[in-house]
Amino acid sequence: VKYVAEYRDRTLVADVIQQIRRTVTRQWTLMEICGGQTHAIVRYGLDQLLPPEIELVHGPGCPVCVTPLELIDKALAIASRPDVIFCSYGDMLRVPGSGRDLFSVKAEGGDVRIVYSPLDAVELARKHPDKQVVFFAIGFETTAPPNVMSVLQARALNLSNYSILVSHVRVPPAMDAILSSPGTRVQGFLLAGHVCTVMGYHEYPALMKKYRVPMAVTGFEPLDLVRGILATVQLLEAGEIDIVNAYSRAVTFEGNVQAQKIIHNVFEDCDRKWRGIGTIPLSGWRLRPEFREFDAEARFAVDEIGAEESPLCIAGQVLQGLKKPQDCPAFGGACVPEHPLGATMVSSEGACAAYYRYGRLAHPAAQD
Amino acid sequence: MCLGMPGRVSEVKRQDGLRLAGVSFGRLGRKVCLNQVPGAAAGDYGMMHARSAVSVPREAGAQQTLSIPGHIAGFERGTPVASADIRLEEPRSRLLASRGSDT
Repeated sequence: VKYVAEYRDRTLVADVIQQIRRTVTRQWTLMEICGGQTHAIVRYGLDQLLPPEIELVHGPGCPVCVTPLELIDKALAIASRPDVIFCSYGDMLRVPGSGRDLFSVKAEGGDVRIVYSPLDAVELARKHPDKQVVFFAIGFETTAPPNVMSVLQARALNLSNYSILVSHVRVPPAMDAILSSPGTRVQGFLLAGHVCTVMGYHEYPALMKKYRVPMAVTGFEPLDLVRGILATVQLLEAGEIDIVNAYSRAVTFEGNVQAQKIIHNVFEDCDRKWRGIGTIPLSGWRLRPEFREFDAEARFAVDEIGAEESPLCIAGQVLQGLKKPQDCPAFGGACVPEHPLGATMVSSEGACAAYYRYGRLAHPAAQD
Repeated sequence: MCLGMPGRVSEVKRQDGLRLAGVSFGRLGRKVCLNQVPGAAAGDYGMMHARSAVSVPREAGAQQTLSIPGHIAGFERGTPVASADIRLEEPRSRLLASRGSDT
């Protein structure tokens, strides 16, 4: 495949790491936003190759992690209905709600199906007019275009048995919340490359100016990640506040204007609760009133469901870069991927799950 | 979840109002929706997410990543904010102190 292997070249990555070593003169704390980036950094051990002056903290960009508990419970309630085919991306099925997960519902006879695209769910709705087909539409900006396309397609096909359970979140309001926190340690950001593929990076100069924090649009392969780190460190060392596009093969300043237009035709901004963090104003998208007929929450009357998080879990502080997974007393003991207590252990893209999977069970100093 | 996979468009057809393409990911083939990248055609690479194309990679950017950047001047700096507005006038250390940084 083109555009993959060449960006995992060990020699090129080592050269950029050397440049980072030559550039850095003092301590810097950077946050990568996206859970996919967190996973790649830990998987390839990039954080361990960096000079000790650079600390990476891990942001809230894992949609599986931040989908609120009560929405999982709503999904479980809908999926348990005998008249429903409940469709979801695979990584949501093992995320526990208050008592069980979607796999449990499937084991108990519920019709729960993994799909790779919401358009597959629309096709199921067409094939099964006697069933209600519900798609669990979670995600950040990257995932919004296929989700809204499914709604437009269902309308075009006059399907009255298709709806989506929406838990869409947006990156800029979350960054605003992190940077406005009095305890924030973040001095530079690696922006989520594929979010920017869709949305561009025109929303970020306002944040950059407000908090005077440099940023680099960053991709997901090892070479992309170290280049994003190098760019951010160079800006910090130079005392410059700017945004650098270190993922220019996939991202433009404007982004995918066609996709943005489709999104805004179907979704509108709303306040959204983030698992482990709480409600962030205008941090989510919901269906516009003219598309409310496709809103599963309204169709199945599950508005009254609420839920409580585990008091042991510190996922909210991990998601804001205030703590590392090893700071949690439950990490690796009471909380493991098979039995997660909170947000960042539930998905492979969560910081706690990545640290657990790749053996980062203690702080580097303790391991030494 | 926001992972994108580059794939090569092999054929494009219209079906039920959608622009669908056969896309190869190495030896794996999948049907992908191209509605959000109207310019994509057979032979192009696309960045695919949830079986939708979200962008067409730019060759220049692809090559740039493979060259070793000597300085941030080698990166694309596309923000139209006037540099006078965004450049720090005070030393970085003073700014960090004012934000309560412990560094």
